[in-house]
Amino acid sequence: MSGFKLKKRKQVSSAFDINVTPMLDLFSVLIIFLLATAVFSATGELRIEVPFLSSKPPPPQKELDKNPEKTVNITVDEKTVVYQQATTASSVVQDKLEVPLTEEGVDKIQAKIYDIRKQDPKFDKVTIFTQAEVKYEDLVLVLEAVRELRPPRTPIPFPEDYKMPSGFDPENPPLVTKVVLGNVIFAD
Amino acid sequence: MAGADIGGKDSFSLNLYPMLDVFSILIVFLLMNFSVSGESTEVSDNLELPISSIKLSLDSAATVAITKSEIVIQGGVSIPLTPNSADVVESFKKDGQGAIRSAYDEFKKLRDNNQTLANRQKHLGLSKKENSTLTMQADKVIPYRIIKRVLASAQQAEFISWKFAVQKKDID
Repeated sequence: MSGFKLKKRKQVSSAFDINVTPMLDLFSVLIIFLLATAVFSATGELRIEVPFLSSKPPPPQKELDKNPEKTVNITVDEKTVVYQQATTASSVVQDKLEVPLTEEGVDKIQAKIYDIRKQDPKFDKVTIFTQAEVKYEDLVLVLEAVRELRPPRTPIPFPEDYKMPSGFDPENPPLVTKVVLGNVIFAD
Repeated sequence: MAGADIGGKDSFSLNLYPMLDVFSILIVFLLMNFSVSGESTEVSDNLELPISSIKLSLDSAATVAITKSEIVIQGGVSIPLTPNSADVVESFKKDGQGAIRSAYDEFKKLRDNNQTLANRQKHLGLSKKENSTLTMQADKVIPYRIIKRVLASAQQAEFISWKFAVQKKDID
């Protein structure tokens, strides 16, 4: 009797079996499509600018003397990175730091720029002079330090009247938005 | 469905539910990681980008690839980086400066095309923005003296804004 009951129950359950084979076919096609179109290596970007020769005269020195702005130049050679800070009023170097071209070294340079940004939230331009034999990989290391904040440093918001270049997130701004490669046109 | 039912009609039916479960999970995972907005960037086989922790994703722009053997502009014109190439002999010089002629010619063409396109778009009221940005994909060992010559060539063709492509660290 109990055997009969079991057999009957099994027959009822098998009557409601769903044919999953078409669904499986669909899933297989979908997986192949997704795997074929997936991008597994994400590419990032570091934005830089190249100076443009202009016939426009520079602002008068008196004007620069009245409202001097800080200027930061970074010189990269094969082994070292030199940070130099001056002002638009005077080319006399006010602060200088020479570090090895390593993660730790460029982090010290980022700390310097971070301090300037904290003092002057409008500061937003770093010029980089690179020597001829510096590899692209090493240049990227310096560019990244200038652009991308490393923990525990947190983003410093730009002033409200500051017009940030397009493509940057105003909620999560980079350390500086204008990175200029200084010695492109002329020899080192 | 569940395994072999000896003596029954469907004695050889497979249990497909676990497979279906795996496929479902796989599809959900792939769909979640599937990006339709990001730029699908093709990097040349003989080009190894430097790794960076930068968070900004690469946007679309005309591309210049500098591999160990050649400079490729917008996937078309190739300038060989061999000692026999007159342009490159010049760019390999330690005190070399200025543009690489053939690269400049190609950038100029690209610039003219961009301007024509921008003018047409402006005329049709679609967009007034002119694309003056280039993407550089350079091998990580390429020295700056070659990069500089490419930048100078593009600068003379009025391309002054660049995006240096890097391999994102967290995906590596």
